[in-house]
Amino acid sequence: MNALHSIFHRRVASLVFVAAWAACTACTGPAGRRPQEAPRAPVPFPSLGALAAQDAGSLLARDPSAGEKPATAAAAAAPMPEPLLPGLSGWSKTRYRLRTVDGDADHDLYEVLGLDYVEPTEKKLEAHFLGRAALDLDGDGASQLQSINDTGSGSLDADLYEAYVKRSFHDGDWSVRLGRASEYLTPEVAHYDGASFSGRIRGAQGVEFGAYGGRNVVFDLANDDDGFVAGAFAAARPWKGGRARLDWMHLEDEDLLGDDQDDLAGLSLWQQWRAWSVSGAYTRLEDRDRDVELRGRWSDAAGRTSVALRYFELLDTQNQRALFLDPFLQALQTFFPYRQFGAHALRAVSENLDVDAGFDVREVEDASDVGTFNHDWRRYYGALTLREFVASAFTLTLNADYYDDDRSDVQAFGGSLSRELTGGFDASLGTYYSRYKYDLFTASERDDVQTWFGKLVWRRSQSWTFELLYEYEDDDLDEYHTLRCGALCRF
Amino acid sequence: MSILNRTMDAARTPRLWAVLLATGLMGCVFFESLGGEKPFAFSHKLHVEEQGLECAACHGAWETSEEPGLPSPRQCALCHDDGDAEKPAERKVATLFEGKNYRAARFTALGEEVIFSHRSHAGRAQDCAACHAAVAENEVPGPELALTMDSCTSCHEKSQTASDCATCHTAIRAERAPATHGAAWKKSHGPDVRAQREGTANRCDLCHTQSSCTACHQTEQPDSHGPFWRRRGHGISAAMDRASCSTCHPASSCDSCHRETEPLSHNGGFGSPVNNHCIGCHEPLAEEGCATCHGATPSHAQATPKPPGHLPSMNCRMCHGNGQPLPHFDNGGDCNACHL
Repeated sequence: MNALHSIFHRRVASLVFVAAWAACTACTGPAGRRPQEAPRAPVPFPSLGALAAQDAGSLLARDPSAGEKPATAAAAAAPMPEPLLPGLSGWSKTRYRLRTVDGDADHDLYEVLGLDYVEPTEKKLEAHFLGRAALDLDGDGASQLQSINDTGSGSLDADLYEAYVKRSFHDGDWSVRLGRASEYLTPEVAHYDGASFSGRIRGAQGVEFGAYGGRNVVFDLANDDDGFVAGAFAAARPWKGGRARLDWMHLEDEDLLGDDQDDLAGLSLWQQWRAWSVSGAYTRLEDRDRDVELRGRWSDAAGRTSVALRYFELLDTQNQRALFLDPFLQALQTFFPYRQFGAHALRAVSENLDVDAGFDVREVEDASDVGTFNHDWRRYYGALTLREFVASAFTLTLNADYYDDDRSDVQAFGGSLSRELTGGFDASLGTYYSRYKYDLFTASERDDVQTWFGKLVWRRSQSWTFELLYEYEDDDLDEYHTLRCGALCRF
Repeated sequence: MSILNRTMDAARTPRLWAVLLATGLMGCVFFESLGGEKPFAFSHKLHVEEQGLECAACHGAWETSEEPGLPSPRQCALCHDDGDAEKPAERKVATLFEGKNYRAARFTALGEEVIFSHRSHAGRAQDCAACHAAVAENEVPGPELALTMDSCTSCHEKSQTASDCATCHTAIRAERAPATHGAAWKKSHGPDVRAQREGTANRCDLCHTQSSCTACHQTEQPDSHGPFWRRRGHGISAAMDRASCSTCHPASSCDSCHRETEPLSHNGGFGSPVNNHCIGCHEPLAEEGCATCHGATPSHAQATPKPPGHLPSMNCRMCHGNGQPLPHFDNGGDCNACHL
């Protein structure tokens, strides 16, 4: 296992990533493309779906493997390129970013490459790859432009997130996975170099089980050689509309302060009851209760209105732990027990108007624990999206967010106006303002941050999307200019 | 304190909200369990299971049309005319019709987006129950009669019929977000993914690979993480709600930068009155110069060693200080860190 792990060491990961990317770049080209059946005429989705397609976040930031909203009819009908190999698909996202402040500049290049292979005939063998490289084109730049990518020893910072093969047996009921992978359904997300096994028993009970283990993988940290994670789970649908899952995780690391070994057990229950989905989760760390969570969500039949409620309670004081469980101890110190309740409601008022709003309330269990890094706070937030705004030409998005505790508050307001143009172009302009008011030292510090942005996205075809972004930020420290251009290619 | 203020304070208590949530849910279950008088409606169980009627007796177009059809008033009247004569008006079969049309909601309707022909599927399954299993026990038509995607995919899988999106859907594609992925999806998808709800339509892997999680949570940063955020804002937010950071970042993320980059607002009083926030990075103190935090101060390495008989477990304050402040000790520092 050590040998496997060393293969994926940060520096080697850079070489693996660059080699894979170069190979794909060399292989992609116009040759060997084949026409595919043109999609049938699309039927408009309900308004909430339309809103998702116009999410305020970066269009390139959405899951590229699942695609984007279609471009123009012509672009949507354009054929996808033939795969490099039968069963192989993937995407590549390249971005250049220029940032300037106070006479200094920083040029960075980012590349993310995802590859998915499914053996095309029997579909029993899969292989997946996902990696990211950040290249500082001109050194580390000015200190005010440094980022987490600049903390490595060289100008190239690469992370290998996934590189595994998976083999299925017995009509997919059993599977074995080997390589670098992640577990996302466990109580804590685990990234590791190792092996996993999972199985299921067909039937109404929906029994699933599995086990995994390997060396910890920690992104953004140069030395991640001394960790280990192992775990097992079992899940079933023992009653109508319900599901239960039991987890055990063992985590070790000697990375930060010393040798930490933690065992985490978790029990989760879900129940679908008419229009309600309710769930509960409980975790136990070593021999003490760690946290409990209750969730409930109601949606109307048409999916136009939903109300979600959440209650969370951290039951035990969290200090030094194995890395994946560590409560940011080094920077934020002890994490004291607290309770939090939140509610969020969403309403599609009409075909063109969506409104959503919510709040969260947190209360530290023991008032004497309230301090610099453990707060009582309230958060209120809301957003409004209006489509076909001004002669059906624009989409208007407004949002507001307000955090407030007894010592500080953070307020943020934003708005953007976007328009879908002909030829697969989307253009948007917007601004958002944040005010941070806090009292770490003088009880009176205040920062105002105003950001303006303009963005142009061109969905040239189902394979290619291009993005150009300019952002200007004016805060109490400096004025920043950011220019970003990128291309997303699906193949 | 006014009643309004007390009410506002109470409303800010998470546990109160949790109690209200639990009470509300239990109330719903209780009232649901009370049931009530069954509405007058068509009973599939009575007609199919107990009377032995064939499905085709009412759904006459099941083999010949895109839609299987619903019974007409005349069809029902063949059996009900005599019995209905003595029933009150609200219990007559005629109340189920509006003119010649059956009034009940079409719970099996698939929606305009789904491509389906009852005619072309008729006869392919062994019996109607292959797709309509819930009919036999159904006494009042309701959502439980709705067809699920599972019944479609299981047959398509067995018969090795194409089961890509375009076979059954005009609009849904892997390249297009479904209606469920609406405005609230970014806030709610985590629990939905973990729930792994029953049914093919709820399977994430229809469109996504597992790397979809990583692609967003590891390789992308939120729009809020701009220049100010990087220099100052993140600390304020992390101090408020560190749990939200852990959605993407492990604890090492802080150390990656903070071990090499001096915090913008860095001075010896940071994190006071217990300024062990400093010690998080400058540890052990004996190996750090005092000037790291306090200019022109000699190194801790020059601190005098403890005299013989002074054990690390002793309380220094018992003998030292005489009631005066001991700056490091009083702020949570450990004398043994420097006085070895």
